[in-house]
Order: sequence, then C-alpha cells, then structure tokens
Amino acid sequence: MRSDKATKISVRDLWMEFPNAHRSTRQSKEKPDLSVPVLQNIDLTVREGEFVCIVGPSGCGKSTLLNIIVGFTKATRGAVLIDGAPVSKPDKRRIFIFQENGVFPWMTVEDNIGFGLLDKRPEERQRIVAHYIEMVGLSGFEKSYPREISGGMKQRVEIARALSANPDILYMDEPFGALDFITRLRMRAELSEIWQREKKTVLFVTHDVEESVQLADRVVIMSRRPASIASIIDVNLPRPRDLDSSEYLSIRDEIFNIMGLGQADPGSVPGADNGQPAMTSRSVKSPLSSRKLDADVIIIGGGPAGSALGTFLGRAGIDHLIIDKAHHPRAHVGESLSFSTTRILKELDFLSTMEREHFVEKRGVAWTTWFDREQITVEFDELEKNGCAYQVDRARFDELLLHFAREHGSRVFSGAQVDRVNFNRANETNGVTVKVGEGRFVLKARVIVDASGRQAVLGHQLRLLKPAHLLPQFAVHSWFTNVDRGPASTANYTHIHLLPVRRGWAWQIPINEEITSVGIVSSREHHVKSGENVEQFFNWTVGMNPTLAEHMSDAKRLREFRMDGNYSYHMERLIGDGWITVGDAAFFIDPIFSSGVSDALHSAKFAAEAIIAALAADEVNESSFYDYEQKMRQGNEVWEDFVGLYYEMSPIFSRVLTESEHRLQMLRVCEGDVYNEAAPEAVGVLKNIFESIQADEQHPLHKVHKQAEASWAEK
Amino acid sequence: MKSRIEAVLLPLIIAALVIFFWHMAVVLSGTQIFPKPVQVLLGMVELARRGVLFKYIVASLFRVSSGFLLALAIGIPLGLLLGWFGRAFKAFNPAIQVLRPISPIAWIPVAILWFGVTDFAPIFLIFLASLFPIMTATMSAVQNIQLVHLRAARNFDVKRVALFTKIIFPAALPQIITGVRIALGVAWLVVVAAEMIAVNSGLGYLIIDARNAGMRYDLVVAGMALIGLIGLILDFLFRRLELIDEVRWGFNS
Repeated sequence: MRSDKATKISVRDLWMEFPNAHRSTRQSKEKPDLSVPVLQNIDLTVREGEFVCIVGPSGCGKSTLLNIIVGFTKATRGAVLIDGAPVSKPDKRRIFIFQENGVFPWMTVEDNIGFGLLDKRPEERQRIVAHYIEMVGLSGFEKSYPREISGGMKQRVEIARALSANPDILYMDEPFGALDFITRLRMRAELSEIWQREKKTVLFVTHDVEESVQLADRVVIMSRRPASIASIIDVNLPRPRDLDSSEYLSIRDEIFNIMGLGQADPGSVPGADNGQPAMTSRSVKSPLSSRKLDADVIIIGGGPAGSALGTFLGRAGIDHLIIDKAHHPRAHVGESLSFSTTRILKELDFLSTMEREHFVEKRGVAWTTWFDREQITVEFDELEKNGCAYQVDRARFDELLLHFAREHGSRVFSGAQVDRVNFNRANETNGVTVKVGEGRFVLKARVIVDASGRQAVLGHQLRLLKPAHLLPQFAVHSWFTNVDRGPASTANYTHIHLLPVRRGWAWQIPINEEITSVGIVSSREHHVKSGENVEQFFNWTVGMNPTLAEHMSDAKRLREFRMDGNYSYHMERLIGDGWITVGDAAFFIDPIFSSGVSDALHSAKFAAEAIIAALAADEVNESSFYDYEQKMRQGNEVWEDFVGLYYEMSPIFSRVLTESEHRLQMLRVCEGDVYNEAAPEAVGVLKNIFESIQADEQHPLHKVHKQAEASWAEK
Repeated sequence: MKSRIEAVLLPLIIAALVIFFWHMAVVLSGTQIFPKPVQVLLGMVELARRGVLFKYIVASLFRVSSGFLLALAIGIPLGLLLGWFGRAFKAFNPAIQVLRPISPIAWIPVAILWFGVTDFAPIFLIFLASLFPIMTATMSAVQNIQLVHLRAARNFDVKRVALFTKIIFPAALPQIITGVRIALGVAWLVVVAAEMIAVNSGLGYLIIDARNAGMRYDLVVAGMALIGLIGLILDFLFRRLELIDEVRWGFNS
C-alpha cells in the first residue's frame, strides 16, 4: 500500500548517552563516572508524506530523539539519513515546531510567518504570507505582535511560519502541550486538515495516546528510559477519523496495553542505587488505569438548563464541562419568564444580576379577547407579597447565565457541536463525540446531561422523541417600538391577546423602555394564510383583536419577522445508565404559559440534586435518576393536560381563573409550579369546572363559550 | 485616572517639602554662604541674563552626547560580537573586567596627557564611563537569548549578517536598552568631573568656576539643580524607548 512511497527519514542503530548528572555531587564523587543511557538501538523508517507520531511516557527521551533527527543534538552513536544523506545540522527543508515561545516576539505576525522567505521577492513573499495567514485563520492579526495574541494563535503563527517555508518535513515536539484543553482539541483538528491538504511528512512527538491515534498513519511507541522502540502500530483508518469506531478504540487500547506492559524494572534504573531520587524512578501508572476523564459530567448545551445545572454542579465542586454549539449572544424566543422561575433564579443567586441588567419586572399577566374590551388580569402579589418575574432579552439573559456558570466553575467549550453520545457495550454512556470544523474527537465523562434544547441530541440518537397529543402551533414574531402597552399599572405585564381563530393568540412582552416583543401564535390552518407576505398576514391577524390592534396602531418594527414552529413533544425515557435529559431536550410544551425557562431551570435543579447524590454514592446508573424522572414526568403530564384543557376553553379561561375559588391553586400551575402534589389536583379542579359550565346552560360563561366556538368555525 | 494624578501630585508635594526645609534650614542656621532656594532661582535668572545658561547646557549636552554616542557605536557591536563568539568572550572578558572598575576620574590625567585641554578630553572620559555598562549589558543580553529562538533561526538557515540583524540584535535589544539607560546616567554623572579639569564652558565648569571666582554658592547650587533636572528629563525620554513595539515584549509594564 504505502510501501511504494520512498523512504524519507531513516534512523539507524541510534544510541544516545547523557553525561552523568550526579557527577559533581558529593555522594557520587567516589563512584565511577558513568554516563546515563537515554536512547538505545533506535531503528525507524518514515516514508514520504507519512504522518508518524512518537509516543511514550514523559521523560523517556522522545524529544531527545527528535532533536537528534532535526540536527540540533548529536547522537552518541548511529546515523540519521534523510533522502539518503546523513543529517549533521538543521536544514530549511525540514522545519521544527516548538512546544511554546517559538515565534519571535519582536516581529509582527506577518513578519514571523514570512521569516523563512527572506530570499524571495517582496511581492511573492507577501503573497505566500497572505495565503498562510488565511489558512491558519489569523486574518486581521497581520500587524499584531505575539504578546497581543493568545497561546493558540501563537502556535498557529508558528505552524504557518513553518508551512510558508515549504519544507518537506515538519517536526513537532508536543506542539499543543502548553495550550489549554479546549484550544488543544481545536488545534489537533486543524492540523489534521492542514496535513491532508499539504501532504508533508510529519514526525510528531506527544505523550497523549489519544492525540497520536487521531493524527497518525503510524504510531511509534517508546519504552521507558533508556528508551527503545517498544512497538510500531499502523493506524489504517480513514480521515476524518470516527473516534467511536471499534477499530479506533481497539488501536488506542492496544497502544495503552503496550505502554502499560512496557514498564522497566525499577531496580534497573541507573542512579537509583545511590540513594538519590533518580529522574526515572518515578513510577509511571499504567495508562489504561490512568486514562483520565475529561470531566465528571458533560453538559450538552449552554442554554438556561445547561448553565443553571453547571452552576449547581460547580457550587458542589463537581468537575464538569459545558459544550455549547452556538457562540453568544444569540437570539431566542421565550422572553417572558414565569413567576416560578424567580425562585430558582434566587436559589442560583442570580437575582442581583437580573436587577443590575435592569430587566423589566413582570408583576402579572393580562388577558384580552376579541369579543369584549375588558382586560382581565392576574397579579403575582396574590401569590407572594411584591412577587415578580422578569421579561428578558433572551440573547442577553442566556449569555449572562452562561457567564454566571463560568464564574461558578463551569468549563465552557463554545462553538463545538456534539455529534453523538457514546455508549459502551453495556449500554452505559462513557462520553460524547464532538465535532469542531472537520475534526472530531471524543470527550469522556461519567455522566452525560443532554441540555441541547429542541435539538434533542439524545432524543434523536436513541429515537425517544414522542409527539405530545397537543397540536403543533406556529409563531410569527418580532420586536417593535411605539407599542401602546395599555393602562400604566399593567404596562409591564405579559399580555395575552386572544384571536378569533382556533388556538390563536398573540403575546405582547415589554423587553425594555422602548422595545416590545409581539408575536402571533396559531394553528397550521391559520398560518398557511401567511403565504408570501408575512407583514400583511401579521397586520391582518393583529386586526382581529381590537385591543391588540389599538396597541399596535403606531408600532414600528425593529427587525425582520422570525417564524417558529412549535411541535410539543416529550421523551419516552428521560434517563438511562449515565445519562439524563433536562430542559427542552426532555420535553417541550406549547409556549402559552411561558413555561420554557421555568421548566429548564426546575429540571436543572432536580437533575443537579440527582447527579450530586449519584456521584457521592459512586453509582450513576438509571436507578440513581429514577426519582428525577418521576418528578419530571408528572410535570410534563400536568402541562399537557393543562394546556390541552386551556385550548378547549381559551375564550373563557381567564374568566374562570379569576372567578374561581380555586384561583390560587390554578394560578400557581399557570406560573410553572407543576412539580408538586397540588398541580395534578388543580388540573382536575379546572376540568370539573369546565365540564360543569358545558353541562349547565344557565351558566353565564356557557353562552360566551358557545358563541366563541361558533365564531372560530366561521373564520 | 486617579493614579495618574497621584503620580504627579505626590512627587510635587515631596519636592515642595524639601525646598521648604532647605529654606528653613538656611534661615535658622544663619549661614551666609549656603544659598536659600530663592537665591538659587535668582542665580539661574542671572545666568540666563548673562547669556551663559543656555550656552553651558548646550556645551554639556554636546560633550555627553558625543561621548555617549561614540560609546554606543563601539559598545553595542563589540558587545554583540563578544556575547556571540564564546572564544572571543573568553579572550577579552578578563581585560574588560579589569578596566571596568577603574573610575573615569582616575583617567583624568591620562585624558589630559593624550588630548590636552580640548573638548576631546571630557568626551573621552564620558565615552569610557558609558562604554562598559553598554558593552557588558549587550554581552549578557546576547548570552541570555532563548535557545528556542536561536534554534528556530538555525533551522531557517539564517547566517552571519542576517543572524545579527534579524535575531541576535532584536532579541537582545530590551536588555541593551536597559544597559544604555544606566550608561546615560553614568555619563551625565561624569560630565561634571570631566568639565572641572580642562574646559571653560559647561555645567561642570560653571560649578567649579562659581566656587573659585568669589564663592558664589548660589550659582554652584544652581548648576547642581540644572544637572539634576536635565538628568531627570533624559531618563524620562529614554523610558519612552521601552514602549516601542519591537522591544515591548521584553518589559513587563
């Protein structure tokens, strides 16, 4: 296969000894002057265009080997041949990339990258530099100095500097070792792409087995010092590599095994017998057992559910990682937070942030109908003295909450997409596969939390999503100025304006002093009328409710209309061995009661409690999360029943709510308290009331409801 | 903002206090010889009126800059070469270490012997005084260049002149600048001594002349104050060099 390619680098019978480091110390003065063997009998052939990784325990001498191959250091014995010629000194055709600080701090990014091109004409140099600046994604930083850019960017400068000299061979000595965890993963993916494009011969030294299997055609495994080559493993896997494939995993484990078995007998370590702690006497743990987790918990998604869960876990001192697909800020609907949300925000200690941001305080909800001009209101004061919820710009709110999680110990990996959750043969989760650009890699954790929102990573992967019996709704919405918010006392309330179409309503949510969010929600039958012209459809529908029409008479739209389709669904199972779903990834309910953020935060709290207990008990199987699932399922059922009932009685719902003696119990459900005993009872109460109104022709609301239903039918 | 105000205000307060105590000390001790601050100021005005103030400052600055620039022109290249070539360093360093601790004052007789009573004598002394700090700073800067940078340069096949202009000099520059700043301070110290011997202009000459010709201690102190102030200004200007983009990496602030 590849054997037809020419031999590029050939290392023959190479030996290296360092002078004895203890020579000058008093203890060893009378000892014979022995030198320390570092490398023994190294024979290695690298073919043209091949990517070869050298792995081995730290301090084994793999960097020394690379320095000899480059020509920085001379071997005690043996030879290095490149293209058949012996190497005696470094050469411009083979560039070495250092672990850190290799770029020249006195030169700009572009001068560094053009450093190998000083003999070229200026125009040509400029062209090549521009090409590589673009390739490594540093456009805009041409004139920056290294001290002004991050560690990862400096490493990219060095790679670009090497590539622009157009070498045959790249030597890399743990080039990503000094970078932080996340940058390292990203750089690995980028290097793999660049190598596939440029097809240089690469010799890459690392102590990270995972890294070597991800990158290399062949992995050379060194033994402990004095090092020799323990084994060479072929990695015949297509790129980009599927880090879940059994082939990948078996190669990786094979290397771990070889390294584990490759331990030298500590008795044979030179220098260990003179009472001095020798460099090599430090025990190297078997890599198989020391294969580290990237975090105890991985949270997929950095929305409110993920951020809140991260904050709870961070407070409990649990190491966790949030993988967030989007870069913040991002736009989102769900701008009105229900009253029950405030309690969790308080538990999170987030209320001071809410106040600092001057989010609008929401103290109630107002309802209007198309058939009378009366505004019916409920006040949170009834639930709690001075109680309030908030109206928020979701882009800002989500960003703040994620930032808050970071402050409480969440590590956040932004701009990465979770491809899938990985399961072992026993069907327990053991990590996730993450995609960054073209590259994919595996992150390991004991518990995986799916907080991916309506993307529902696990729901799709395990085919667990079930549609709720609620019908799908569609929304058209935007931000406006000059919206009349009605009477001053209720101006900051969320307004629900009912429309004379089946399941049709509009929201009016104040975002700040000027901006008001207005959206129309309706069934597919109504929505198809929107046709090509959304503006016309929106204005026409707004006109159906006289109060809403009045409020919107002078309104000016601030941004494009957005459209959302909301299919209510829930997961058949919310938990499993090592995994748990929260927020919209667990279930999604029609947005009439602004319940999204409330459910996200509640589920985050319950999930955090379950995870903390499970990790403390050192047992993260399905049964550890059983109580969580029960609680969430009840909440979901309450919502589905309550919302279903709501749409049947919507024209009279607000009247029933305000007139009933059970109003507080029902109001609590409206405001998101669906996770306690009282909630299912409240649904039963409401159902009884509605049934008695339907049966009792004398009831004042009976006629109202009949008429409303009739007008739906007309439209 | 607040710290900027403090940085200006606090030193001014201390200066005012020093001047105040100086004044009080002169008044209380009843000395007739040592001047009060205001007399020093009047002395400066007198010098300005006689037309020598500006002339003397220029004369001193001229001597200092001549000797100093000469020291730069010889000290930096020499320091780079000696710092880079280990064998040359081994050969010359002992000699340098012998010459270095000899005070420039001790060279005065030799300077007069060689250059007579001309401008060259003080310039030579200033040159000698600043040469050694510049040279030793440059040598040690070159010896301290990070191995990765040298290896990278070797890897890219940079040799001879380009190696010095592209790598060694810029890599050593921050430390060289620090050495040069120290050298300038020394040069300015030496100018007074140098001008006392052999010339008839300059701030050093002003001081010795004012004392010899009529015990004019107001003018002596005026000369001292001017030397101090100009030294401060020179140092301030030199500090700006540390902000240049190419060397800023070498300074923490």
